[in-house]
Amino acid sequence: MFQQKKTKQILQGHKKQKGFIGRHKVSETKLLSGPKAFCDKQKGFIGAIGDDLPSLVPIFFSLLIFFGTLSYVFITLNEKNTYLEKYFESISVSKEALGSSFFSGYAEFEERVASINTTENYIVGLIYDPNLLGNEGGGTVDTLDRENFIKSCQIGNNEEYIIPYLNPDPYIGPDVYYTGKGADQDLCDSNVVHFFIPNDVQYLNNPTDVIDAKFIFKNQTPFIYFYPVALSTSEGVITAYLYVLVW
Amino acid sequence: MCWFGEFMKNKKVFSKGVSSSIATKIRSFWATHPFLKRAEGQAAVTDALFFLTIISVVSVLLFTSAMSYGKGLMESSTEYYENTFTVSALKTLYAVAVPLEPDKYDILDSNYNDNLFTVLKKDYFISSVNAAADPAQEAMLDINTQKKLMESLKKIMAPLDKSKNYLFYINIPEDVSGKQKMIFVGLVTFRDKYDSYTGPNPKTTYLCGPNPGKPSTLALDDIQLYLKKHSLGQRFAEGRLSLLVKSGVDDKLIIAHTGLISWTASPDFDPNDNPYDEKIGELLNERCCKYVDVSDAIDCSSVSQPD
Repeated sequence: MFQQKKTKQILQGHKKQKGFIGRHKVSETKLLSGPKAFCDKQKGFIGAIGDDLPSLVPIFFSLLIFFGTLSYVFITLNEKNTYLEKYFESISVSKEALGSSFFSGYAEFEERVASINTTENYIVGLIYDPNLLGNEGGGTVDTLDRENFIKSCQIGNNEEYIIPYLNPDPYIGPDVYYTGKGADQDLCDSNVVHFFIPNDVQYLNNPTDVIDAKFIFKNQTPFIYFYPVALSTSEGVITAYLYVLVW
Repeated sequence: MCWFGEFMKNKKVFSKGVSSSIATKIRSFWATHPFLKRAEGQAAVTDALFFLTIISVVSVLLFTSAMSYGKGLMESSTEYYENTFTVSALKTLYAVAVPLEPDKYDILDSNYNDNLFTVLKKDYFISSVNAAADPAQEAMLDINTQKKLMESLKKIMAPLDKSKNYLFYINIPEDVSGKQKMIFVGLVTFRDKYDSYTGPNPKTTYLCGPNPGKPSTLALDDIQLYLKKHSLGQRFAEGRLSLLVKSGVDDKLIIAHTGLISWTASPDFDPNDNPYDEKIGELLNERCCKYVDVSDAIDCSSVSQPD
């Protein structure tokens, strides 16, 4: 009896609420239970959806953050995987070019570089002092003729000269490599931006026309490796530097 | 939507539970307590905020994992490259030629060249013959041979000139008398703060001879441990060398170990101030190390401290 009276009082109380637009389906038990009774007494109650609306906002943001992070992570991992694959491949290329750290001459160098098996682009240079090379030594007169040198690598005020391997596509492609001189200099190790390579075969006839290496590397930063190697010449075994760029 | 709040309240559990009197008490408390009455309506929002917190933590973890992905691999690969460089440098040192003339260091200036280690072996053998004839003498490398060795090494290590210090040694674990003997120690390091040397290249070369009155050994393990402890990027390559020496009336072949250690250069090299260089400072003091240039001549028998 007391319960019925109380229910009636509460229902009347709801009807009197201003701004109440929901519908009542209040059981006796629920009316007696504290929380629900409290909810039903609130002003501005707009039904079940209205009750949950504030909680949807953080949930919406949560899902937004989660899927945003997830997509970013996937993109980042994909990029990093690509980078790491290229990095490991570049190490492999440099290791193949290095071999036993000894070159019996230019012919062996040429042979070893040509046998590198990779899908990446690379340049392998053997930097030494060409004055040390004679006809019976590591180089030949043709390969070390100054007139055929191409101005390639500029380090400060010092100029390096290179000889590209003359194949149909000597500048862009996996078969490109060069030799050079300047064993006592800094060897382009720190300033890649000063490293210049000609862009096409026509350059052979115009040694003054150089372009930035970025063109060759297609705006990618090449992986650079230096190794000291022994190079056999007619004068004796000298120190040379194997210079490997992979991009 | 309110699952968490409902669970916390244990409303249904208590209403259907055995202890109905307790449930009734909790319900009445819940319904009457002013604070809980206010909080009740926000149960769903609280759940959502918990969800947001969990998602934020998971997102941060995912983000940091993605950022650190591959770092270990990159470091290992860099380490591998530097190790390969050091090994290649040592191999090159074994192969290069030097002039046979005592005062020449470039093979272009010399008419007679030979392999560096062949020259070294020959030099040490002659010294051992003299030592066998005169017990007061000790077999050691000629200073010119030492300087040729250092010049060759400096040329080989030129690409790392500004970034690495390095030390090369030739150690005989057991010579003819059964004792350990360090026949060569060469060190190339920064020393611009330590002394007044202000040349174009702050790198300084030391040759370390046996110090009279002090053991002619080198605490290599200590140095390596020290470099490792201070994360100085130590790289190490070791080789072997057979040396022919005079032992009494016979010739004997002994095995020597060669080692090349490189580590990150410290521009503030000062064994007195910089603890990183403490061991190197000890080495310089222990081994009669002296700064040398190619044209310099040093006599370690009269020097006990580094200049």
